Amino acid sequence: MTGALLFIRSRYWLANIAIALISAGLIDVCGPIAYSLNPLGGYLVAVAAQIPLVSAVATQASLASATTVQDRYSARHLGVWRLIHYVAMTSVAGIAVGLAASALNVSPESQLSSYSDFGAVAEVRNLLALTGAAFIGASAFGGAFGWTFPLAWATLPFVLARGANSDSTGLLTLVIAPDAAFIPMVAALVTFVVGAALAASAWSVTAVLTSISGVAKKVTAPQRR
Amino acid sequence: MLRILVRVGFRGPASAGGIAVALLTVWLAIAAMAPGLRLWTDLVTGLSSASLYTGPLVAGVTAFDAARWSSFSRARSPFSAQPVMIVRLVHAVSVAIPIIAGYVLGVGVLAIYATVTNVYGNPYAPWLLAVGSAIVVAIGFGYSVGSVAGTYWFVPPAAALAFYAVLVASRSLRLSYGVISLFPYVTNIDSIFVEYVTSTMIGEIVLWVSLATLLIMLAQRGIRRIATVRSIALVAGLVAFALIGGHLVLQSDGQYTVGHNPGDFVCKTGALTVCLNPGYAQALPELYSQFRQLNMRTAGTALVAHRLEQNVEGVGDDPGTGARSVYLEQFGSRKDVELAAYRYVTKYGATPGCVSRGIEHESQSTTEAIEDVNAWLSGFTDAVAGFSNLSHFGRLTSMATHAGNVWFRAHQREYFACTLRLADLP
Repeated sequence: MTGALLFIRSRYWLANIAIALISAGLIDVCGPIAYSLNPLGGYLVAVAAQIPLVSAVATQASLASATTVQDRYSARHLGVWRLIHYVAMTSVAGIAVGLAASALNVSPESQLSSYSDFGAVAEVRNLLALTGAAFIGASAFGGAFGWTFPLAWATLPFVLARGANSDSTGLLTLVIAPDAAFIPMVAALVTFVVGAALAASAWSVTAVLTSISGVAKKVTAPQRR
Repeated sequence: MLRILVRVGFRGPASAGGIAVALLTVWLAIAAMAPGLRLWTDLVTGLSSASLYTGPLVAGVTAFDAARWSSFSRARSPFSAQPVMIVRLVHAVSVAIPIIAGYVLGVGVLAIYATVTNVYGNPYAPWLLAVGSAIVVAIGFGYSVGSVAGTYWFVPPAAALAFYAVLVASRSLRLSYGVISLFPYVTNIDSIFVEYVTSTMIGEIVLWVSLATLLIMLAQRGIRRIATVRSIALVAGLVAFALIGGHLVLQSDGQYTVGHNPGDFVCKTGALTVCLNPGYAQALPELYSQFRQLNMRTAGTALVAHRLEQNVEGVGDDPGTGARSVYLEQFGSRKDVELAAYRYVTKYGATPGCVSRGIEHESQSTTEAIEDVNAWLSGFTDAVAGFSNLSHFGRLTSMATHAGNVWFRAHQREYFACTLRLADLP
């Protein structure tokens, strides 16, 4: 129990929960509240679409322990704990942003009717994709720089001056894809699973590959009699 | 001094940040090129929009670097032979150098790419400097946050996200364009058909560089509250520069460009003359053939095109004597040429007459009839894609060119007077 409490405190779960709630509040401010003030606008929905980025980055950054060396020599294997952190914090944020976004109801008559199909499903999808991306970023650039990858993904629809309209797969412009977009949803789930594997292995790609090959060897090895 | 800067600067996250800035600058600039065209103005537009990501990236990286260095060197720096402020400013500059070098490298690679692939035009130097200055502000912001906040887990991402949030908020709130332009992100679109408002760009450069220096200095002041006459004078000078820069931006309402046609044309002459800017020359044969077809359908009416000059829609639309304007933004497919023809017929055909009569006086039948004819004349079928009844349009397009011309001449009075009805169509 003490170990669990120590882990929870050292990974700033309370701060993560607070950030998730603030993110949900921001979605309501940028989405339903702004939209109720200006039903023909809807332009802030694009901002609301990016807000899961905050929770995603917080989940990853808080797991970038300041006590990496101690972690390595800890009596317990922290992989499962790290995975619990990943799933628990994403779940809390997912419920918060999902509930907040459920009030998002952009009318097709709005100036940006392309956002009329954007709602809670898309917000949760964005959270999954960006959280996974943060852990992929951390494994590529280090624990302090996990945010670089999801930030890039969240801003791409707005920096690709002409590319946004020509992104037929919706992968580059995932954050503004509608609820029903199939390929972005699959990409988000895959990214989330990859992120989970990296989270459990302290964002070491080598560790993930070693684990996979270890499991594969166990499965394929002949049984001793 | 330079050797120290190089030794300290060209390693660590700042160097990686510089490489990332170079790569992103090149990728996003090339991604912004209009289909079928090779224009420097598009590269500049893409390079500008890239700062929405490179700014926050740089802010996060410098926050990390500043926090780490401050934490390691805080105890040592008071014993240095140089004043603490100088020591820290040297470090700030050494962090900035690889990032700025990354931007310069990115622009250099773009210049080589442009030369090798025959990109038309030249970038406007103050514009490039303004984009670079926006990155300098991000460096100043990140460095000051890192210096003050220290090495907490949230500092680099918080600096990046805060900088990004400021940029997004500046665009999301309903601010005047002049105020929006004070924020370090260039969203203007460069075009061949413009004249540059240099004072805005100079204003931004002065404002952003002063602001960045000020942020770094004030962050150091926060750590060591030693006010000297020299540093107070420096701060006052920077504030004055920032105010002057901000005033210049507000004075021109943040405008980067005004519509202008340089009148630099290459023309194709035959049954008619079509003139395009040399950067758009590859569209000339297709555009010529599209207007030749339009002329065959409109022969004997006021809609025949004799001399067309490329222009900018809206501001700055000023064709030469006896010429009419043609608008072409990109040349990715035949559709772009058809759109140019459609814009021509909506400008010189019935639409202005319909607008002057007031939309409330137009019947649905007239609106659809005019759109059917415009789409048929120009070949731009997207204009009627939303119509439920396409039978009239289908009959128009199935007519032979001569028969179509006969029909159009017979109905040109109703067409130009905006009284054409669906029943008049074949």
